[in-house]
Amino acid sequence: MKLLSRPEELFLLAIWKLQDNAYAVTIRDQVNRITGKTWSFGATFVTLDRLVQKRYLTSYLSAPTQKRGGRSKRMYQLTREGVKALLDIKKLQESMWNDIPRLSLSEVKK
Amino acid sequence: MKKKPIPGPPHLTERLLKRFFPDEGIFTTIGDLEEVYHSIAEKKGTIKARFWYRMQAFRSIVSYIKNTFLWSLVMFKNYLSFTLRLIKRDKFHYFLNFLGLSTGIACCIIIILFLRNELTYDQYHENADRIYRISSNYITSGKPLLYAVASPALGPKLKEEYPEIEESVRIISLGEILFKYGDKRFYQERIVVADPSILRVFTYPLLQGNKENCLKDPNTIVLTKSLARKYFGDENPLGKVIQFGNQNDLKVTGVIKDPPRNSHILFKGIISYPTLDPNQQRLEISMYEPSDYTYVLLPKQYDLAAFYEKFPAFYKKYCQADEESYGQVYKLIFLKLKDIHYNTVGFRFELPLGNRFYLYAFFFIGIFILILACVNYMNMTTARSSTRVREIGIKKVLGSRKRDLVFQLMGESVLVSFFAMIFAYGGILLALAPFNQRLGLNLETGMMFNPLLIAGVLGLFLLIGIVSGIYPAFYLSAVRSVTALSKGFSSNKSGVRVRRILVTFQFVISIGIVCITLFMNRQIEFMRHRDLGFKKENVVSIRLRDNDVIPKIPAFKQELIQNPDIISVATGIGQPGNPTTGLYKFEGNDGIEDHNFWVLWAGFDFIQTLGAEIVEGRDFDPKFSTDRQQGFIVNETLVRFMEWDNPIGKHITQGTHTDGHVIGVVKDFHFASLHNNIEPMLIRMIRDSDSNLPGGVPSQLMVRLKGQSLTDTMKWLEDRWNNFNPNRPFVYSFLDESFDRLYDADRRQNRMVKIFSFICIIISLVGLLGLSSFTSLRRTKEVALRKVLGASAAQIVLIMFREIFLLIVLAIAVSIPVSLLFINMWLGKFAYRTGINPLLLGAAAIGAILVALLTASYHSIKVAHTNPVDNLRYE
Repeated sequence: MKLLSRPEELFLLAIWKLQDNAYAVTIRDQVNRITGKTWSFGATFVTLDRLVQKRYLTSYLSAPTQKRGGRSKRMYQLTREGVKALLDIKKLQESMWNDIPRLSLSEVKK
Repeated sequence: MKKKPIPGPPHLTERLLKRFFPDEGIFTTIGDLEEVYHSIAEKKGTIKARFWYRMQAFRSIVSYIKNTFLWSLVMFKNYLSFTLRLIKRDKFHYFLNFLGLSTGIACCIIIILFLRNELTYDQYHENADRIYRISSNYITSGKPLLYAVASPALGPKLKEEYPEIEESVRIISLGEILFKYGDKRFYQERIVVADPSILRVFTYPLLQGNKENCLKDPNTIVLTKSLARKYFGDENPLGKVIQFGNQNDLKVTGVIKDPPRNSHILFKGIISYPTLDPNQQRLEISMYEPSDYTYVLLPKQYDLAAFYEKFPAFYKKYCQADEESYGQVYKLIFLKLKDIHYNTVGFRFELPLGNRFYLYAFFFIGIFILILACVNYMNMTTARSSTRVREIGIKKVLGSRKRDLVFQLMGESVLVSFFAMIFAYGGILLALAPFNQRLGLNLETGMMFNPLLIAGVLGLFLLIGIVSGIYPAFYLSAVRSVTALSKGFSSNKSGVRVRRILVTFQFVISIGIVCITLFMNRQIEFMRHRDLGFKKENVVSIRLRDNDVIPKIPAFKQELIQNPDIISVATGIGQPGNPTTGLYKFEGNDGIEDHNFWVLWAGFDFIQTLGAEIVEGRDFDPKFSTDRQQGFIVNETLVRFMEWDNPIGKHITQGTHTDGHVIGVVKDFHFASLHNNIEPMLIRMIRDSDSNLPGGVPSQLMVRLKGQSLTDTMKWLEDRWNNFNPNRPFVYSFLDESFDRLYDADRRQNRMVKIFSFICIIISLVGLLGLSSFTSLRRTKEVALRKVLGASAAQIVLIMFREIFLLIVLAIAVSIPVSLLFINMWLGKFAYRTGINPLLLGAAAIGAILVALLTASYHSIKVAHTNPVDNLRYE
């Protein structure tokens, strides 16, 4: 079982959440909002490309819109593998968090 | 509240982005950027948004370029390691290749240096394009009589009459004169006498002394730095006094930088003109008595037509009066400074000149060598294509485009030629000094770092890299990958043909150059051994040049004759190879004619000492007291020229020889180099016993020896000489040696051509070696089958030889006529030349065949002796 990296997980979740409105700008906004950091466009595209390459995502072109100077959007969609990878990572995390002793800062000795 | 429309993103930036990221014309990314731009613009204003947009574009473009560069670097590293691996695998071939290429480049660089040196003759003077030399043409009996020199009065008088002439300089070349400083005594060569303006007209930077007045006073001299060091070592030369001749002093008033050696005026010291002529008497000398090299500095954009317009008035004032008595019309010839070195006018008293023929010859040799080297590279690379072809095939399958492959293969040849160039440069730096010495050249290593030259050489190396890489690159990259990877690949037929043509071409060039070299050799040997009409062996010529000892000469002669090893002694001015000229009136068949012929000044016994032969009349004889005043001996050519049936007694007059007549005719002998025909010449008597007698001052004593116990005789002569004239050093030369020296230039050129022809041969043999290794490799299976069927090793070697033999014969057939053409051109400049010897051509041809077969035999024999099983096993 291949594991997703954390940014990959974030992006896939963002796209899943955005459903039919997932393209670079909205995805970046979403990720920015969740992480509280500013992701550069470069980082966004690199991650998206990698996910497409790994077949977790597919992309298609939308109709051109006026707002973007008459240009199309490249829309992203999760594939079956993508969804499966998310489910896998969720399962893994749940099982990891499941039977550990109570986790709190006051328990740390040093 | 009305909302202001937001302007779009910056246009230029957008255009740039589109250019760098074509994105198949859809531009979704740019769309994304634009959308964000708008949202930023709404929140934070357009200025911020535009700034953001530009930053995004800038960052992406920078990283795009960085990436491209990085990847091509990786690719380059890949190519490099491929090349290095190939070199490792095939050391022998690459070594040959590299050797050929670097010798080729080295030769080219040397030839470039040589040509640069030759083509910039006299161009280092700042005013070079405004300096003219004025030479003279005395039209005698309707025929031009050309002198490189002009009257000493001409320069100053022209400057007087033509205010637009900025400066004039007179230069007299003294040849060699005696210099004394302390215990140092030299017959110093290359000393000139010149007007002070020499330092203003020409560019000779003074290191010490005052430019305006260092040559103004009598008895002053300016030395070159190297000469100053020769006499004074590290002492300050300024103010030192050198003695010259017997009692004259010269004060050193200046030191100039050693002038570059590519100048037609070569000197080591300048004696001030007033030393020679303190009272300006030389200004009174007739325009018809040329003796000084005269240069003028004209204003910028001066039209010579304007000069000639005013010339008739000048002529009337200064020349008209003498026209009658000399019987000549005087004309000036202007020659641009930079044209002097290669002029072919044929002036008398011309300074040593260059020969354009050699420039062309060396230029072509340089190009030929380069072509040979490139051809070799092409040959070698394509010849080994069978080993490369699999690599290319794999690369193609893996997705290399043809462009990439061409780039890689070209890059390889550029790389090899780059290393070859570095190697060649280093080699030249080390070898230039001995090379210069051997060929008597003066190329400076410093010139190699001239930026222009370096640029030229870099261009050259790129050219070589590309030219020699282009054929293999396209040939190899065009191979279809399926063919390349299928098992039975052998290179196609056309490649073999091209290679054969190239090798034949190489042999055409090298056989041609070898033929030319052989004939040059033969001509030079011919000149050295030709009967000159006198016996040049065993004649010592001792420098005299001293007015004071003239009265003692007869007694000294008598003393020398007593020695049983000495046959005869005579005095003379100049020696064969170095005569003077003079204008005389001759009794022709239809009245008196004026002619300017060569004149040899001689004392009693001159003819005998030289070993020439009197064919009519008699030699000078002390019994006839009139000989000194009236006797002339002429050569056969002069008799033929004058069409005299009975030459003895014919009148020849000039100045003091009012009643001169011919007393004898001497058999023609060569008194100049064999470049020239024998011309009419007369011999007249010298002052050899009394300095008050008319005639020239003898410059040497010629002594004919028996030729036995030479060292003893020379020692004895030196001893006697020191007794006779303790003021002068005993300096002598052998006549045959000085005659040989007349062909120094020819011999030097010959040596240079020899070296280059040797290199040509080596390069083309390397090419042949490559070809033979290739053909034998290609035919291993054929050879193996033949062996299995019973062929002997000898038969197989013969089969391999047949191909090469045919190529060489073809090359010989092409190259011999072409080289004959060149040889004829070269021989054309000699008045006396050898014929074309077919035997020599035959020898060259047979030599070429033998050497070629010998070279090819290495691989052929190797193939012939392989075990056929090894080569057939995989079938």
